[in-house]
Amino acid sequence: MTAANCATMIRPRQDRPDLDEVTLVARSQDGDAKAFERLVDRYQGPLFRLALGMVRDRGWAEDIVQDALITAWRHIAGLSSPEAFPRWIYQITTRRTLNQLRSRQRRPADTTDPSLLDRDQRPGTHTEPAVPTGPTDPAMIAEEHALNDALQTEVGNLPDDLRVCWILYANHDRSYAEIGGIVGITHSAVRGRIARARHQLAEEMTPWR
Amino acid sequence: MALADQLPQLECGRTVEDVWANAAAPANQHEQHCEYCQQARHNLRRLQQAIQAERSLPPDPQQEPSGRVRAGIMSIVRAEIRHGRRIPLEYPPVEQPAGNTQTGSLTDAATDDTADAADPELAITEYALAEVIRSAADDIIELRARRIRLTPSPQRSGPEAEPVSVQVAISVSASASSSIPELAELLRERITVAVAEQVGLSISRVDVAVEDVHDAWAS
Repeated sequence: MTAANCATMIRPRQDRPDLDEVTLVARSQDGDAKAFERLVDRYQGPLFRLALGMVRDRGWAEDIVQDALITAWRHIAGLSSPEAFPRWIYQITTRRTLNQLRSRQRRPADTTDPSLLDRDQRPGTHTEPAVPTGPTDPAMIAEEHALNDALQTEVGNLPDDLRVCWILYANHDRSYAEIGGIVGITHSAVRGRIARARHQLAEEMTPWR
Repeated sequence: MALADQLPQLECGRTVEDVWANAAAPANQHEQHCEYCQQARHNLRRLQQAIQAERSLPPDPQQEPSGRVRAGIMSIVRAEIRHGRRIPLEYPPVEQPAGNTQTGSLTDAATDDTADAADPELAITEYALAEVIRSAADDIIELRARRIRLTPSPQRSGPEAEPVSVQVAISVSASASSSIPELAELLRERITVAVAEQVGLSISRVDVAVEDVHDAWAS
């Protein structure tokens, strides 16, 4: 019952990799820079992929993510509940991206043409354990790359308003309700945009085969 | 609702969503005989294959931001850290105005009861003190310390220097497998000892609010 009984609970000087996101957000709200750094580590990749999918320019996408996370740092104390952080940071990033696309603050240099990307197609590196049914045959891997490249091209051809919903839905696993909150549109508008995106992609994908 | 938000329709009058909803199942009666639906089913399956390909490919390094993003963010974050109030380790003696007013400056000093106490020689910022407390709490593996509030004892005027004590309010998540009263007691002890050893301040009270319980092994 005394504190001495709890001695096994103490393992000093850990960096506590187990800390959950609510804890990291709460600490960041108190101004803890180390906690916020871990949120940056968690979110910079997904947010970058979201922005890159929209603006298709690495430097531009990096600027957007940097600005979005700095804005988050400056205003995180005002976030009413730590649980709202993921949606909030997606919202900041998405709206910033859409605003910049509307005003075309920067000229995108087209660096994301999938055919220009330096892909590693060696079959030995294709070791995704999470996909046990994934092909190991080099011809099938090349086929997967071709399919993915075609998909990326067609996603890039979607209008901005459809593309943002599609990327949040297909690549970030956001629900219609979440997408509505992030983009600032109604649930039925999200449903309509996803349906139109799916329709357009499905029609355009076929000629590649 | 804007026209543009209506669901796309096939020539036969069905929506693409209808076809999508049934795409994984065998073609229904209508679809077996409708060329538009058959084409749409084919296209949607092709799209589904492409999405699966996208997910099964190894991560593309081109899809990761460069190190400048994190470095740029953190340099601004560190530059903008809110250090908070400076908490003195002790309040200096405040001379009582002996009898009636003597000089204007003495009267000013006596009525100046704001916390900055004439720029104390030894003080710690709230930020640094919270770091010490957080670090002490992090040693307890069953706890995840969240928010910390610090309230320094008020300054009382007196002829002697007076040590400052601090009240701590800390919110935590506790492991489901642990005894909360024991954890709270341990936390109080750790915080009090760490602050005394590392800062030289005494802790008058630690209020622990357990606002969440987490699984013992979940991250």
